[in-house]
Parts: sequence; C-alpha cells; structure tokens
Amino acid sequence: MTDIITVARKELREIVGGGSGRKSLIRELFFVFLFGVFFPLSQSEAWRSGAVPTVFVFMIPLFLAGPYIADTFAGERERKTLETLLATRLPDSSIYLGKILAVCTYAWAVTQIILLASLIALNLTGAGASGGAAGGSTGRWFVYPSSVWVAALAGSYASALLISGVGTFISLRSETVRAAHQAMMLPLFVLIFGGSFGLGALWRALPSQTQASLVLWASGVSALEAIVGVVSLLLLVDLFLLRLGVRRFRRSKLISS
Amino acid sequence: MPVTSGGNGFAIQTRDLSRDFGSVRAVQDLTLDVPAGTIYGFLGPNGAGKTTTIRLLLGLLEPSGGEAWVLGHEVRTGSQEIREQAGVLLESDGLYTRLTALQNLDYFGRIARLSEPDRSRRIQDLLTAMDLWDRREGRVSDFSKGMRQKLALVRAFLSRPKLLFLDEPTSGLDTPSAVALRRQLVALARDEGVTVFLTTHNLLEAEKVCDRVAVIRKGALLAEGSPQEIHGGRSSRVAIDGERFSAELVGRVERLPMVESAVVEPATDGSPRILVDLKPGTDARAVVRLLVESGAEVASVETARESLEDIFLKLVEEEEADTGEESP
Repeated sequence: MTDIITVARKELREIVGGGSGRKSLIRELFFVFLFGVFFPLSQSEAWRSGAVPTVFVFMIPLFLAGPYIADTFAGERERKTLETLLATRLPDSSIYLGKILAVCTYAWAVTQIILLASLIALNLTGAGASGGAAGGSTGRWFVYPSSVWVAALAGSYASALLISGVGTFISLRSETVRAAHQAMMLPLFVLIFGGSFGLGALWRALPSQTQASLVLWASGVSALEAIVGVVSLLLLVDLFLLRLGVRRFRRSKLISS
Repeated sequence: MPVTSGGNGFAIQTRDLSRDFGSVRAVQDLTLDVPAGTIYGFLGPNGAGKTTTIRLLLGLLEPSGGEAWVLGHEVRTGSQEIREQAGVLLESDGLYTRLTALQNLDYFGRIARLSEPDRSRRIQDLLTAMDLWDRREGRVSDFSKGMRQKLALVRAFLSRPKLLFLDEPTSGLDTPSAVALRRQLVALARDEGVTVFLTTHNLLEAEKVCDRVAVIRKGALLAEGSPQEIHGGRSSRVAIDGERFSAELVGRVERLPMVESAVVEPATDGSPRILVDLKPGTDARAVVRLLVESGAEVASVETARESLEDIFLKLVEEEEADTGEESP
C-alpha cells in the first residue's frame, strides 16, 4: 500500500501543481463555474429536486478523469520517463493502482467542490426556492437530499474508477498522449451518450407489459436505494476492470524494442 | 560452466545471452563476467545492442536464449531483487520535468524506501557533491542538459545501489560538462564502492574511466579485457625519422621477426620517415640497431600508442572482413 500511495502522491503533485498548473487550474475553475454555478442557477428547480445533481456527480468525474488517465502511461512514454520508472523496485500493481488512485481521487475531490459550489450558489441567490429568497435571508438553508450525497461521495468515485479502468488500457497501448486522448473519446462517448440513449432504446424495446411491471417495481424503490444499487453495480464492474488491469499490466510488454 | 551467484566476486555474469526482436538478433550469445567494484565499459556503436543488454540485465526484457545473473539473481526469476539493488541512468534521463529537483529525488527516495531523515540527508549530500544544492527548488524543465544529467546521476546513486547501470551518461553534453560529469561519476563510484556498468560509444571516455571494457557490435562481443590488455593484444606503431632510408634497408627491416610491416612515408615537414608496425609485446630496439648499423641516420624514434578508438575501428574492420560485410 505504501508503494501505491507513493506513486499516487507524485501523480497528484503533477496533476495539481505541475508545470501546466495554471492551464489545468483554469480548466478546473471552468468546470466548477459551469457545473457548480451556471447550470444550478439556470436550472435551479431541477437542481433543488436532486435529480440533476445526482446525474451530474456520475458524469463529471468522467470528464475530469478522462484526460488525466489518458496521460498516465502514454504521457510517461512520450516524456521518456516510463523506462526509468519501470527500472525501479516498484511492483507492477503499485505503479498501475497508484496512478489510478491519483486520478480518481482528484476527479472525486473536484466533483465534491462542484457540488458544494452549486449548494452555495443556490443558497446565496435563492434560485428555485419558493418565494425566491436567498437561504441566508429566510434563515433556512437548502441542503440536497441524502441520495445526492451518497451519489456524490461513492458514485462519483465509482464513476471515476470506471473511466480509469477503461482509460489505462488505452493509455498503456498509446504511443503519445494525443493518440490516447483521441482514443479516449470513444469510451467517453459510449459511457455518456450511449448510456442514456442505449437505456432509452432498451426501454422502448421492452414489451409494454414488462414496462408496466418495472414501473410498478420502481415505484416501491426509494431514490437512495436506487443510487446504492447503481453504485454497487458500478463498483462490481470497476473491480472486474481493476483485476483485469493488474493481471495484464506487465513491464516487459511496455518495452517492445 | 554453470554460473553461480554474485558472491563469487562478479556483479554480472552472462552466458550466451541472446535477445531477438522478430528476425533481428539484437544481442547475440553474449558472455560477460563483470567483477564487483569495477567500472565496466560496454562499448559499441549506435545500435550495437548496448541498451538492449541493460534492459535484459534489469529484467525489463526477457532473454530469447542464454542465462544472466545480476548480483546473484537470475534475470528471469529475480528481476524484482535486481531492481531493488540497482540504480539506473538510462538513455533518457527519466526526470519529471514538471517537478522540481527536490520533488524528483523525494519521489525516488520514497520508492527506494529511504526513511525521511535518511532521504533528506542523502539528497543534500549528493546534490552538494554535484553542485546542484542551490538549484534544488528549480523545476527540471528549466535545467540545462548537463544539470539534468547530473540530477539523474544523483537519482541513480540515491538508493545506495550495489550496481549502477549508466547508458551513455555523457551523451549530448558539451566537452566541459562531460569532463565534469565523468569526474564526479568516478569520484562517487569510488567513494560508494559501487559496480558501474557503463555503456558508451565514446571510446575516450571508456579509456579514461573504465577498469575493464567489452566491445560489441551487432549484439556480438568482439573483445573484452582491461584497456591495457586490449592495447597489449594489439600491434604498436613506431615512427622513425632520419636520413638514408633506402628501399633495400626498409625491406630488411620488414624481414625482422618482431616487425609486421614497414613503410617509408615523408613526415609533415617532408623529411624521410619509416613507419614500423611491431608485433604485440615487442619493441623497436632491434629495428633501430639495424638501421644504425646499416649506415642510416636516426634522428628520433616515436612510439605511437593506438587509442582505444583506433583499436575499436580495427576490431570492427576485422569483424567485417571475417563476415564479408561493409560498414553502413
């Protein structure tokens, strides 16, 4: 575990305080403004209901982790640091898991900041509240329902793990960061749009009787139970991807000639 | 002969070590014995198989054939143990340019599991020895090539390795930087008693720094020994300046048993000069005696010791003649 943390610390240091720090800071501030201020204020009622933030906390880590996970191995290869890293005593699994831990932790932390920013924005402006008063002036602060917090705390990490699990396979096989970024577009597209369109198409393909039965079953499931179910399912997929990744990560395969 | 562990006085031993990439044989039946505590030069032109050999010895690549032991560990089964005890400076310096010098060293110190106080002290000592302590907070992307190589060398020494693999450490450096780095490398290696496996195509560097050298080309070993042994096994050339060197006299010189060849060639100032190639282990006394006794006037006798570079080129030429190839 110490080795995994050592790798993760260095990766986080590069992500947060690296040479492209200012550039990445601007990118993160843009994300915080877009998802934490602009969207909550422009769709305040939907945000207050908890439905939109629940979806967003699953989606935002995909955007945040995607570019960094693409950079993990392809970036080391391009910057010619990979071989020196592989020549150290670090076990294969520590290198692999350390990089994933860093990217997921970063994406998770920024997602929490976005959620908190949205809460502050909604409370300060009173947007979407009955009467339109800011939380501070009515004395009653708006807080998201518990299902949103469960989604934010556990779901966002599971979501980041999902894209990281897929992304490392791409990064390991890409010669350059650019190639990795381009290749990452496909899984991102599939996860973000394929998920919603695919589920919609699947729903429409179901016989009406089955649809009715599912609606009846779903009406008895609370939002919190649904979130826990989705997160559990995601974690199972993550675990499978991580095990596969650890098993397939081999030094000798990364140095071809 | 079975290869035993590193306890037999050798840091590295290989027997018929080979590595193929498709139809290309990058390392060919390589047999080496690298004594512990020495600076061992591994010489060869670009593409000779030097880097592939290092990768094989570090367990980063699987051999296609043969065996290799590094610090007593077989490379196929003990690569983790080898990497735990080895330091590296590979073809590329491998430094993280977005991080500072200190952050880079801290990372590799943690990987080596040095304790916090030991890590700090070791980093300070090595950076000071390499004149980089004042630049410790500088970002590596702002460092010159020479500073980066020095920093990479510090990183290689950081974990107190028993064995250091250095792949072309002075490549791309200007002469003063290369000389300074070479001097610091030798001082550190001697101080720490570490075995150094140094690949280079800079023969002058190998001659100045190495206790033993191996010359390879196209993955195959051409010669191995101390620089002196390699010199000793080769003919030496003597230039004799003077007057009255007739063709008949030169013919008599050529028939002397210790002489391989003799030719008359004018010196740079136009005066007559005989160039005599002597067989290994002989000297020019009998040649000078014959010249004087035959009435020639000998003004000076100069032994031109071949550099390792000359020897290397001759070895390559001989090998090409044996295989019927031509240099690219």
